[in-house]
Amino acid sequence: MSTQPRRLKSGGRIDRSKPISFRFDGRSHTGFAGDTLAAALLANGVTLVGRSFKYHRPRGIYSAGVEEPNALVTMRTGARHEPNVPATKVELYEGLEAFSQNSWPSPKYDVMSFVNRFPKLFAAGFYYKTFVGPTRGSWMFYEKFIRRAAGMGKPTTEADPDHYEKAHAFCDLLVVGAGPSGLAAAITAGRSGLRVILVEDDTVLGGSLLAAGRDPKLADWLKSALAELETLPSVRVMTRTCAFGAYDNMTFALLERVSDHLVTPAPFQPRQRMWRVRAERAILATGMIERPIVFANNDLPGVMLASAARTYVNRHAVAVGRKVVVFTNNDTAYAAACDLNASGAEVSIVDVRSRIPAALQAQVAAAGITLHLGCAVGRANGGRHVRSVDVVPFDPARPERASVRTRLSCDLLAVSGGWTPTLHLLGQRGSKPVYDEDKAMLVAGTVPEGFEIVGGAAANCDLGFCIDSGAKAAHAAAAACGKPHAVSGRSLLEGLPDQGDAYGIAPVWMVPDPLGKGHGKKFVDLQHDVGADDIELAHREGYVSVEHLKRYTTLGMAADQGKTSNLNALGIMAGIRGKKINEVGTTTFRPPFRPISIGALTGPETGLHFRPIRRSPMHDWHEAKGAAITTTGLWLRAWYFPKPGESKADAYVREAAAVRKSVGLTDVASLGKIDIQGPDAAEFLNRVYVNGFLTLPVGKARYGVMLRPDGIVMDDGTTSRISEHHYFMTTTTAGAGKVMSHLEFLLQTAWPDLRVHVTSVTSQWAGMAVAGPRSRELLEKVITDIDLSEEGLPFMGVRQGHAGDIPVRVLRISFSGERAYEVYTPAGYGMQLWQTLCDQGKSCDMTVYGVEALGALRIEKGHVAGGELEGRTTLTDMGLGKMASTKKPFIGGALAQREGMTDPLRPQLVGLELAEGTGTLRAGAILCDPAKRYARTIAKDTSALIDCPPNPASKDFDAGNGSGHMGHGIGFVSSVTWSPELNRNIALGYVSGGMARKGEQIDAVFALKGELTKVRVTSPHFVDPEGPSWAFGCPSIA
Amino acid sequence: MPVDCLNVTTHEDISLFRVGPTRLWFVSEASSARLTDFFATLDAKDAVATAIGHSRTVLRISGPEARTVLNRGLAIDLDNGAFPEGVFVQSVIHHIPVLVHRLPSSDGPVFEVFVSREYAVTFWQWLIEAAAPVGGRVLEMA
Repeated sequence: MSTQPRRLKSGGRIDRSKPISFRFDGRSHTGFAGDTLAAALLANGVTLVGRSFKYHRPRGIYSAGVEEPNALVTMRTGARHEPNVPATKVELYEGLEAFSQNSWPSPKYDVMSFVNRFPKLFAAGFYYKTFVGPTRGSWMFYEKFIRRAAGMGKPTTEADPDHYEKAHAFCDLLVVGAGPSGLAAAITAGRSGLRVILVEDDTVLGGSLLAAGRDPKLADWLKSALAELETLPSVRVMTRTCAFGAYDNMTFALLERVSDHLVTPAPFQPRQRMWRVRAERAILATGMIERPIVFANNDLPGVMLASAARTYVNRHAVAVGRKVVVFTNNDTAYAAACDLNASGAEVSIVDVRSRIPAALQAQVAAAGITLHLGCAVGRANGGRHVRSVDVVPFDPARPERASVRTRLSCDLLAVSGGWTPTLHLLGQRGSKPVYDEDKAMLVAGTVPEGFEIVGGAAANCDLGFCIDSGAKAAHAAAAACGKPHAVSGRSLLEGLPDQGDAYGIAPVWMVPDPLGKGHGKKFVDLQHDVGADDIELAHREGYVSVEHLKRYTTLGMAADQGKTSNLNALGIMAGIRGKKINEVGTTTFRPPFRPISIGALTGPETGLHFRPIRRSPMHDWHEAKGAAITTTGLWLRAWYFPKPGESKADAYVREAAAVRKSVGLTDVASLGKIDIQGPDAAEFLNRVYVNGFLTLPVGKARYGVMLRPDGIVMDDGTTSRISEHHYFMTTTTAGAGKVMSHLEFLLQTAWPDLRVHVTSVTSQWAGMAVAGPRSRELLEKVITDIDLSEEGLPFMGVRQGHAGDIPVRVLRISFSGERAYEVYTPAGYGMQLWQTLCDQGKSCDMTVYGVEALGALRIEKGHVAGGELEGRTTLTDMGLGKMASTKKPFIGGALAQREGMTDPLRPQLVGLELAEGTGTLRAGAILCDPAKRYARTIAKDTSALIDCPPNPASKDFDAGNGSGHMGHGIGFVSSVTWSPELNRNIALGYVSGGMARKGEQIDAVFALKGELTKVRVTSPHFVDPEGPSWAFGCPSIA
Repeated sequence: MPVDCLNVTTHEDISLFRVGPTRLWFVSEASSARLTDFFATLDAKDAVATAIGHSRTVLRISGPEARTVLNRGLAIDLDNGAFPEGVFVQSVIHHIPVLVHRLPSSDGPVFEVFVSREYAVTFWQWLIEAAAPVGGRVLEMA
């Protein structure tokens, strides 16, 4: 176990009393509470943490924050294994285990590093250039090797064992970022009593102050700010939470990392929680991200952002370098240089500017820091770590190649190319940033209503400005929320150190190779290994637009989304084109700000909670009896009730046969039920159904079909007249929701004058069907106050009465073709009535049956259901054309007359049987004309369409689906079953010509399995076609 | 008669929820003779009554974390200022339609959630899982 050789003896915001042991690439290390994994690795002298995406170049830790492009590691093992996590964002915890990526056998000795020697083979667009030949199929050969060689970490294939939550929150003001400006905003708003949510991605609050130098005034300011924050009851502070998305109507998406700092989540706790926050106003105090400068070998381990070096020294007490070169084009890096110097490092500064403010010059002179003005780092040297840098004379106004002036040895090169305000959330709202030439920054363009940008995000480095801007924005938010009167508090500007946070800068994007030193790789996007050469190449090949540049080179498309690379790329492209950056264009920001796990987006909606489930009042009984359960939409329905040893086919065939022989009971509670009342109810029904409803007498039910406005069949069912102005409609299970919406829509928009009220009573009523020759006998045992005789309750009759003391509504209708009743009772009595029927049914040889048997029974009778009501069929297609009234208009009636809808060649409902007694009938099979078989097919080798002899043995016979048929055929199979009554397979389907083809033999092609089955067209009424029927010959409900 | 679709009006044992512009819910804990008599007087020309008592399951959620748990799925601001006692909303939780009503209480917030009966089990399963992180446990199942 290493002993943190790079840890400073004192300082830092770490808890030295809490050592933490962790493992990286199998080796044990220790760090302290308050460390990130990156900080702890650096403290242990681990600077090589992985290999790069494409060239397998050694890479180290480049930043100290969310922008990290290099130090991606794989966290944890087993099912919790997670690749591509920036080590700079991993909070150190006891037992942490992490692994380097994209190297084998180790980052130090990576066998694939030879790739680095062939950069031209792997330049932008190399997929399409290097690996296109020699044959057309070559890419397929290369691809697997390229994919294995390139890329980041590999995901686990095991199921995620953790739980994720979603949550909603509401506030007057959302403050994103808890640096000095965010804290000032939250405190000011809290004093006004605003409901504030303060979001901070870091573990603790403070932002840039956490990495600031040793001035005690800063620490005191932060301490008192945090203390006051705790006294403000309306401020909710959320740490370890990233605001990653900004959406319409001031809705924000947040990811709270509840348990990522633990080995496993605590009992009952989620790993992460995704918040949707709805705010009145938002203040973005998201700070800035430092920019690199591009030069040869700028990706070597030991090269890092100056702000990161300062963070590691000041916040984590890690001596990131003993001999440090700070390379800058602006003033802010001098603070880093001074802090590094104070930590005991020997520091030199290389500044591209030939003149700097006198105060800075005096400061570095006093500290004994060597200054190289008017110079740049032209090249970093070293194998797996930076050993020295070549310094060249440089004029930012005229960047040209120059000879090396001096070589400085070093073990850390801290780079600052300026700063970029973090404006991603604003960008996500469609507000593109614009380039400010004076500040050399992308700054906020138009700020949408409700947003305020403060602090560093408002493109200002001055601490006093940041705090003041936060407070002022909060005052504005309070006024906008109608709470302008703040509880007075001390000025937040009190007690600040008198420091000039000037920001003088000479913009530099790239330093050319030093003369005589050959060509060095200069990386712009470190994570995707995109170099300045690739941008030049893209330009040469015409990809000059920013959006094309991005997609051609993949610049900015890695997991870091180009946080350190975008502006440099724009600057380089603008330089090549001789244009200004604003003319070249700026990038588009899209959510998420940082990678979000799929688990968090899914939340709890997985497994049991994948979707809500609807259960019938009798569902528990079905489960207790061992029913197989199937789903219809969100409903769970009893599929079949197997006896011991029975297969599905055994069970449903037995159940269906029992219904025809004696009596069966099935659960139809899932049918849609709608209560329709009002003096105009009859007129309303008459308009929505194709058939007439004005004459339906009280106590009678009628089968009805309704069309969509475009003339296609929407749904079917029965409607019963309960009393003068009271009707009870049933719909199919799947159609309930759309029928209810349809009826409400019509009443509220088309016919508001109709005095009709519709109410969904699907869940109010339990429903069960009693069917079979002995159904009346069974009901007579249970229902005593209704005359169930042929005269008392004739076919299509409706009565209300009681089963014992349970109220019931009985409809004499049939789906199976047998004598049958639907019995409804208020849902709370459903189980009791069901049990009573089961008890009394024992003496009637009653069988409980499920939806599979129900399906078999209705297919035998040719009754249409879901497979036939599939959104493409007309009334005539279903053989119900005569149902449509010619005496009245109805919804869909006009458009049903269109030419295409009345085409006599449309597929129409038929029955189908196996023509040769063998083969498989499958729902979804395409029906084809055998006369057109083999006419054309596809040649295997050339993919050309050719005329083909009718010979299945021909080498060209296998026409894709294996059937010799092509195209859409002449129809399709909609429902299939084994008929217990006929003892053979039967099916319903639609075929062009319909019953005119009766007796014809046609082909049923099931392309997914390459099957061709010969079927014969027959009547859809397989069983007892002359038997008792409903009013319109082919009634149905399902 | 409630004037808006936000506040519950209560007369003795009967609460009125205006759930739509021309739609009222009459809610009582037990069957009410007063209600039955009242409905019998309705003329279909003016108003109709439909029984839906069996169609809803009502859960009562209270305790210091009641808001936290409901807001795991309910996108409605339940803060005192936005959702005082006597207010109700119709929304969805975990894709399940719900009506949430805040009851008067002197002892912390109490919410009634009306859930369609067929969704009750699924809602309950969601609820106990949402409540677990803040200490919700099922102690006994009847």
